[in-house]
Amino acid sequence: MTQKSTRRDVLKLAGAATAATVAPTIATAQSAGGVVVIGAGFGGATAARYLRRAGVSVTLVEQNSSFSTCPFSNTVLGGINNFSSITHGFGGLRREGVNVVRGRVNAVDPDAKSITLDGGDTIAYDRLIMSPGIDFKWDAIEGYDEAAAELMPHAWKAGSQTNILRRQLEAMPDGGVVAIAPPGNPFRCPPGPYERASLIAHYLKTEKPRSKVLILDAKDSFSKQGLFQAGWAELYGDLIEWVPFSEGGNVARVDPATNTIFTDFDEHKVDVANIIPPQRSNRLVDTAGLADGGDWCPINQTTFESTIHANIHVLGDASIAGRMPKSGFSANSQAKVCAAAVAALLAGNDPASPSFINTCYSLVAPDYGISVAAIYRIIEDGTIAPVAGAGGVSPSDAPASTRALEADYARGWYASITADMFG
Amino acid sequence: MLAGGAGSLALYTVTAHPAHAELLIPDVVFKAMVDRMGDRTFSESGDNIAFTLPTHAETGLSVPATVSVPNSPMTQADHITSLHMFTELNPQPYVADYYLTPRCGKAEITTRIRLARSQFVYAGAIRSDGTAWITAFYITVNLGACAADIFLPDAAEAVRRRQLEGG
Amino acid sequence: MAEVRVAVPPTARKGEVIEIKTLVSHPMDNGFLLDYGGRMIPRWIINRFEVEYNGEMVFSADWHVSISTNPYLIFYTVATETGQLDFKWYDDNGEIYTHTAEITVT
Repeated sequence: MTQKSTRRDVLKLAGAATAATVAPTIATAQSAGGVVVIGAGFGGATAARYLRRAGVSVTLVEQNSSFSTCPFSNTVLGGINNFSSITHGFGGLRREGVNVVRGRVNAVDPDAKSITLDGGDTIAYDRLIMSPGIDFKWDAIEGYDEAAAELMPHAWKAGSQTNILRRQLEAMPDGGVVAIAPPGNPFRCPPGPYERASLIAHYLKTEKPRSKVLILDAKDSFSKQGLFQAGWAELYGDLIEWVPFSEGGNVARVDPATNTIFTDFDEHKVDVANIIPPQRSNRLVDTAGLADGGDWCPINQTTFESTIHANIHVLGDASIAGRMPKSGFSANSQAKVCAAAVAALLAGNDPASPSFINTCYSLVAPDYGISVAAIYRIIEDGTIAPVAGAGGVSPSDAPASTRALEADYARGWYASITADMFG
Repeated sequence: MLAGGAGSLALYTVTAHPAHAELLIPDVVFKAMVDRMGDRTFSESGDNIAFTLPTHAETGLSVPATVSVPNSPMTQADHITSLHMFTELNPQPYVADYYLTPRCGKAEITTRIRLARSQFVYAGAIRSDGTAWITAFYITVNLGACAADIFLPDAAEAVRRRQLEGG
Repeated sequence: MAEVRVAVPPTARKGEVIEIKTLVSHPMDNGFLLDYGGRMIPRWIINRFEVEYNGEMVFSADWHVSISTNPYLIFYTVATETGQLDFKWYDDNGEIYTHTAEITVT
């Protein structure tokens, strides 16, 4: 039942860890698997690393051999960075004693307290931490399915999709139209589509100045809207056109064969179509009913333990984390809280009341950064809410030097958070 | 089953939000229901009404909402005559009332609504035999970081108006 | 004057349930906001919407202040016969906005 190499590693590491934390794991012997973490992204990799720091034995299951970040993937689309610069291996995690298992999880069994991988291997857990990210609602836009995404890439999971979109941008002739279709709320990385529009505009302005970026939006407002629009006007003139929902921006149907986008009332024939469909939690959570029939997983927002099944914690984009946005930094912050809570619970202690941070940088151009920051804590009803007066937004009338400094901060943020995740 | 009558409070169970397993319909909403749907007996909708909203909205300016009675045959003998929406914590509880006929063919509307803050939103339906169903959905209106540089929906609306007016 | 957009399928089979989308440019001022000068922006909303299919009312609505700016609505009707759909929106200031769509039913 248990993967041989996995089990041996788990036991070996358990022996090396502090007795207080893992004694129950060893004592229950045969099927006990310590903590298993699913997904080596912002949530999972961070949780695995911080659990190791707490002396807990950790098996991290990830389907890919490396992780490419959505944050900064827009710089790849804008031709500023290479794809390799946003791709991270797991050597650092292994060196710190995280047992990284490559495999695709196809089921979670809360009763047996085990997960099953493709191929049939199972891994038992005492506590499971899931940070599986998002899936797309393929039925939401007529004509937009997985096959269509090869022609009209979403590029909303960094990987081959990012490269498809980048190649299309490179191949597009000057004078072409790039359409970006952001979804309705909630979705991963609220300012992401608008940073993408910015950095694609930066590329087009430099290489193909007669081209245009057309944002066909399912919403009437967006994150950091005032700052983005001021930056666009300053840097790109009328190169970027934003069509909000209430002016007919909502995409109802696509025809990938002709690169045509049909909004509620109009049609647009474009050269490059970046369709970002509506989202839900990764469908893996459905194997244990963790989304309770909805799109996202309800959790105890102090410990991230599922309200549906005990001993399973869900964090990051897949979870309902109060008023925190679905962002990589949110997942990273939640993972530290979750790791501390899991370590406390394993040791028989009460988890502490946590606080969280989320800072969100966006690049309007390589030397033009904007940001919004917030501190969160648990309020009376047990949900996560922002602390009034903490955090803030970039000033609207800042000089170029401030924007350039914020762009440097953005790069510093990326370097430090990826180091925090992967060692 | 909920007791009818203007001004009364009704105990009504919803499962849409784990933190609010039991819900007392606020007086202001109940009065609005009686006002728009008539002084009648309201029943918990169960599966009769499908009320679809996002669980979270970045701002409350324009939140998509769909109210549907998917199993209504919409025949002369058995159809939905009206669909309604109400809010608990907006300045007024009324959102919209839709009057349907068998010629609609399908008992469903989709629109966009304003929400001043996180709250329960209510949907109601009246069947041609006079049956009235209600249901509720808890939505978190997210005003935090990464979500918006606008901290009050109404302030955002005012900014937008000024932009439209060139002010 | 509000700009009106309506999407009705130009053709349909008899008995088919067709989807109709409408979007009206209108501020839908809810009467609770102040302008720059601190003056109350008076309530100004579309409060009534009606749809007639060859002269018969098939769908209507009362709207209140919680309907968003630029009201958007999707609803349905049965394609019964070739003819026209007449849409009417009434606002607080007594203005009526209209739109007519033709449909061919086969």
